[in-house]
Amino acid sequence: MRIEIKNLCKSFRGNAVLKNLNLSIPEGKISVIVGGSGSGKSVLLKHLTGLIRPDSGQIFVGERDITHLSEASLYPLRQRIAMIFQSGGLLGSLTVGENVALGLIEHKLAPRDKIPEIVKEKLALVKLEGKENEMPGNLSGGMRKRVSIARALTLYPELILYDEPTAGLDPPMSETIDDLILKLARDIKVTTVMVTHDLTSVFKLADTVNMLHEGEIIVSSSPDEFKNSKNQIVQSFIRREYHSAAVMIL
Amino acid sequence: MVLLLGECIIELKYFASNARRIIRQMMEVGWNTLPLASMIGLFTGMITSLQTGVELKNLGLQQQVGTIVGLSLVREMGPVFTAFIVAARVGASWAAELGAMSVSEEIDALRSPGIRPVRFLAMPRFLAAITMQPILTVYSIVVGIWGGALVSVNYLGVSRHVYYKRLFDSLAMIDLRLCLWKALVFGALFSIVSCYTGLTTTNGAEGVGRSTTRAVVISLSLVLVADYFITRFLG
Repeated sequence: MRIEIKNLCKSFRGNAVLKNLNLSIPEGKISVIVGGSGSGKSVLLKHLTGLIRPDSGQIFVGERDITHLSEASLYPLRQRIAMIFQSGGLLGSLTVGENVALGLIEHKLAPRDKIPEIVKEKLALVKLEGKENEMPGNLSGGMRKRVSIARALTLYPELILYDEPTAGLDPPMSETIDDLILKLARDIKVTTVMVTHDLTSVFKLADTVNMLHEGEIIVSSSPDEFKNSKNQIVQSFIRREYHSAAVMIL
Repeated sequence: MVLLLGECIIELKYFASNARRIIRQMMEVGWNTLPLASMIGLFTGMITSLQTGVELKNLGLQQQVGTIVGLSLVREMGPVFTAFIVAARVGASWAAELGAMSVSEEIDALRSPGIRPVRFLAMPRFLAAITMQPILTVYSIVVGIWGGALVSVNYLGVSRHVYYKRLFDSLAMIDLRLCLWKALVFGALFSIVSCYTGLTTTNGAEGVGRSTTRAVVISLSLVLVADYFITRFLG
């Protein structure tokens, strides 16, 4: 599932976050969007599934222009797109197993008696066997993200959106999550869009790196080209001297 | 809020597939509120009986205390006080729960794979409120009437038979109908207000606190406004 974004603009209370942003996400590849904190990466990601609506511009997901689709029309499309939230987005009142089974039950995608088996299989895929009856509150951040990935996989998505999948995790857990993302992208050939500022993940996973700065994509290149870019902002980001525009103004 | 009400009514057709969630919310509105409803109902009846009974006794009319307790509980105090306690207890809890879900991206996580938050979260609460609120109101009134009888018989010296006879003689079918209509409308109001404020929460923990307060304040105000208009036009 390829994505095309044309002249996307989004403001919040007069503060322009995305300004005439253009971006192409190729099918079956891992595209990474990097940028400073507060640069609008998560806002951009949420536009791709219609969770946030643009002020102007166009967003094509697959062949479909989703810019003006109603909430009801977006629901069938969303079943083909999985989003892994920064916090995991698990429902705290449901067990891990119930969280993973949620999409299957709500969309009636599997017979009731088959669901425990599917849940078990998806949890095994993210190395969380036997955690079905745990409550999300009892899990670590990394485990919550893996449950979130297991939940996403039950719907066999064509596009997976990851919002800071390794944020707040220790290096070994970050590596586990990176390996999982890579395995899913390569094995299932799912189109992957990942928002992060974790450079290790960027260079390990990305097929394409897109740098978001002051509401625009200023560089879109392969990881090697990105690393060797002459662009000052890119270089300061890689050297970890990057400050978002907001910080510089302050 | 009007849109949310409309959506909840449309989503009612999916009640069967949401049965577990609906039953859970019914337990929350009904069963878990019973102790509080019992206490409020009991003391409302006792206080009404005491306040009016003493004055009536001075006029030699204490035999009428059942009439006053019955009419005031069924027409006004039963539905309104029950709505107040449910809005404060359950409505606040719903607004806080949904508010916390909103700020922790749980609502977006539901919308993201195409699950409708209204069907999943609001409709079960709405249905639980409009079914359990009338039941809880009737229960609270029955307890209140019994509380009124306790005071009338033991403190005012009115016979139990006279108390209940006057009480039932004074009540007409329209009073009960009005009472049930009020309970139904109040249940709908507090559930929609709580769900709306919860689902539209922003700004983290501070926003959750603000939504919870808003839910209770708006619910109580709307209950009183609705009470006037229902009494005026259906009474």
